[in-house]
Order: sequence, then C-alpha cells, then structure tokens
Amino acid sequence: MSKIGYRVKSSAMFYALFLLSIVSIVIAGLFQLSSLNQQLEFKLELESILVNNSKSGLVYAKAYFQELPSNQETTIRLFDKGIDSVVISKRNWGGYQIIESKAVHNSNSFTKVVLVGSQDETQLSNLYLADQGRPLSLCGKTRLEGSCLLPKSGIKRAYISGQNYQGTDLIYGSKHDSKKQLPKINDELILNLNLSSGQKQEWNNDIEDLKVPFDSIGIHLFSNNPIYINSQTLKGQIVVESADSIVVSSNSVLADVILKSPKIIIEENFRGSFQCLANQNISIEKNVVLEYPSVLGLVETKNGLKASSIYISTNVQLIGSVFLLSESPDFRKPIKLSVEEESIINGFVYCDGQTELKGTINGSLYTKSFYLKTASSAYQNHLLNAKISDNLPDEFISIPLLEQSNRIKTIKWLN
Amino acid sequence: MVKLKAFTLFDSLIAVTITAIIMSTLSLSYGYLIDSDKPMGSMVAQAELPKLLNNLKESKSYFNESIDKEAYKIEQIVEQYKGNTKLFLVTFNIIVNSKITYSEQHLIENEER
Repeated sequence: MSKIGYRVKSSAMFYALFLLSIVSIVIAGLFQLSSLNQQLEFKLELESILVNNSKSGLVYAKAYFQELPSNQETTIRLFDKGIDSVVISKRNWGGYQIIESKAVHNSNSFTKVVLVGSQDETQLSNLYLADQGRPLSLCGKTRLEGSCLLPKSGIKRAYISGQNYQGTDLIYGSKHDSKKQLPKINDELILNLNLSSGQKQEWNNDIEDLKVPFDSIGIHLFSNNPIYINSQTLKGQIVVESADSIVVSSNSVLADVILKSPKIIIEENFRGSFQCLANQNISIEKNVVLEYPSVLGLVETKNGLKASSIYISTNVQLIGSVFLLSESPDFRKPIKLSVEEESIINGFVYCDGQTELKGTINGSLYTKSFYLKTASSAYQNHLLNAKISDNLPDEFISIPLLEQSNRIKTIKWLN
Repeated sequence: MVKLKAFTLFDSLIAVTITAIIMSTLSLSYGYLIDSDKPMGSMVAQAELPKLLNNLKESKSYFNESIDKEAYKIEQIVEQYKGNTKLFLVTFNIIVNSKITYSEQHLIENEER
C-alpha cells in the first residue's frame, strides 16, 4: 500500500457523532422542558381565563336576565375571540333565582353559581296602604318614616287603650295618594314557586346531616305525613315538602333550603336562613332569628274555614321578604299578617289582605288594610305602637315580587 | 473502542460541520427558550389586574386608562358591550418592550345607570 493511499485511523467522526447525539439529547430535553413549562403556564392561564369568563358569564346573564330561558342551558361566546365559551342557565329557587355560569374549554370547565334577587330601580315606598275609603289612624308611639302612599281620606290621630298618638308629625317623610289596589305582582314568580326541582326522595327522619351543593342536582324530600325537623342539618339545594305540615325545632340547622307545606311552624329560639312557602299558615314563635335572605311566602289557594295567615311572635328578627297572596280572595276571610311587639322585619313585606302590625318594619310594607285587635275591641286601619322605618340600605335585594323594572343583583355566591 | 475508518481531513471537515450545526441549533434553541419565556414584568403586571378591575368597579370611572411602570405598561380599554347600556367590556393589555405580552377581557355591570 502506497503512502498516499494510506488511511490514518481516526476517531474524529465517532467523537463528532457522539457529541451530536449528546447535544441532540440536551436540545430535546430543553425543548421538552420548555414545552412542559408552556403547558403549565397555559394551564394556569386557562384556569384564570375560565374563572374570569364564568364571572363575566354571570354579569351577562344578569344583564340579559329577561331574555334567558328558564331551566335551560344557553351557550354564548362572550368576546367572539379566544377562549370565551360560557354555558349559562337560570332557575327558580323559591322566591329568588339561581344563575349558573360554566366557562368551558375542551374538557376543562369552571362553574360559578349565585343566588339573585331584585333591587328596585324606582325606589319602593316605605308604606303603601291601598285606598279602601278609610283613613289611617295612629295611636301611641307609632312612627311612620319615609315615603308613604295612603288613602285619599288621609291620616289622623286616634286614641285606643288609653294611648294617644305621641308623635309631633303624623309622617316623618312624604305622603302621596295610593290606589284602590296594591301594585300588581309578578305572576311569573308566583307560578314558579310551585315548580318542583331536584331528585325526589321520601323524607326520612334518620337524615342527620345533608348538604347538597348548588352546582349539582338538588334533592326534593317529600312526605304525605307531618315532618318534624329536629336536630338535623340541612344545607344547600334541598326542598323539604310535606302534604300536611312541617315543624322546625330550635336545634336544627337550616341554610338556603326551601320548606313547602300547607302549615309551617318554626319553634322558638331557632336561628337560620331558609324560605318558607305555605298555603294555609306560617307561625314563627318567639325569639326566632331568620337570617338574610329568608322568605316567608303564603299563597292561599282555596278558602278554608279559617283565614290563611302568617303569625310572627314577639322578639323575632327577620331579614328578607314576606308576602301573602290569595288566589281566591274572600273579603269575609281576608289573609292576615300579624307582627307582634318587639319583632322586626328588615326588608320587603307585601300583604294582599290585613296586617296587624305591633312591631317594626324596616323597609317597605305594602298592605291592603291594617287591623288591630285589643282586649276590648277590633279596629280597622289603626296602628298602635307600630313602627315603619326607612333605614334599609339602598343595596338591599329582595324577591322580585312587583311587576316593575328591577335590576337583578347578586345576593350570595352559592359555590 | 470501535474506530470508524475515514480520511482524517474529510473526517475532520464533517466533524467541524456537525459541531457548527450543533452550536447554531443550540443558540437558536436558547434564543427560542428565552423568547418564549414571559418577561418578569408581565407577570408582575398580571398580578395587578384583579386590583385594577376592582378599583374600576368601585370607582365607576369607566374610562380608558394607561398605567406606565418601569418594567411594564397596562392599557385599560373600556367600551360598551355590543350596544348594551347595562354592560361594559373591559380589556387589559400588558405591554412589555412595546409588545403585548398578555391580554384579558371582562364584562362588568354599568352601575351608573
């Protein structure tokens, strides 16, 4: 073999290839790391986008509330670009409404659920007494504050049970004329009160602790017999319905649930928040505290022997709404609301019948007439030591009971 | 060690070429990685957005605004949402080195109605 043709044995190629494979592995690793980092970043960003979108979905649903179909999901694209799909729905929850907004992207989703009510845009009156041709008579330490809509026959001082009207002015606010009938109520709300939702189950006394989140399917506990809720905890999307009656003991824990029955009794010293829907009687015993947003609703469906009523005993506190309506009003047996001494209702009260007010209503009272029963006699359109005050915050949200322009506002987050 | 048979010069040339390719790929990858990484300023600005949104809702000052900081700039654009007077569409753009690094949008209620 000549010297020119002599091949020197070398390992340079081997080293180069070896180096190439090492560097390729390093680069692949770097790309992998970068890709993982980007995936993680996207995941975090996606989470934040979904949270923001679900909140924006709620805002959208509140703005387009009337247009949204009930109990039906609607998919919208919020911004018409990027990740912006939201599935929104609304459904009734007693006197209030629930809005659910679910932001979705592929298999990822984030849901927000809120309880909403209405904030009156036209400013509710503090007292609306329908014009039944009788004046309103005030006795004792009665005090009327704010905007009062009263019969044309006016307002006067009176003397009952040895008590003269003690105030300097008859109204500490403004007076306007009322109409013969109370402002019309929102029929849709009343119709929806009876809509049944959730998975039906027979009521069981052994239930100790039941919590049902609002972003899942609700539970409707039903019984044909009387139900006694005693030392039980019921929270969330639960409807308890009895064809006979429901009694709630003071050692029970109720939050956000709905109670439905012809007769409902809340025993003394109970504290909690729920909605009571009855068609005959609701009785709230003394020292009960019903936290916001509680509702006492009575819709009389047929005339029984006795008038349907809501009775609120002494030293009761309620924050929320109270309403009494009759589907077949009988002027001989009008529906009745009684609020005893030292009891206070903060919120909106609508009584399409007679109201016996001995306590305080801080907010608004719409009633067809007042009645007052003393040991010796009974009086029409008289108030003795009653108080209607105007100290409710402007932001207070009640049930959308009146048929007028209302702004839908969030009461509380449910998840 | 197994030694591959090759001409030294040719072998070296290939080795140099491979090394050059490796070096350029490495620097390209490094550049790509650096570029794909979000600037720190952008992340700091992102953390500011919830506060800005809350301030906007509370103050009810539905105006466009620009917040200039040393490391970033936040652009706040407020416009009516699809002609609905009840809603505003708020867009936040985070700008770092004259480049939009992050953008997010929110719907808020018009509380001034």
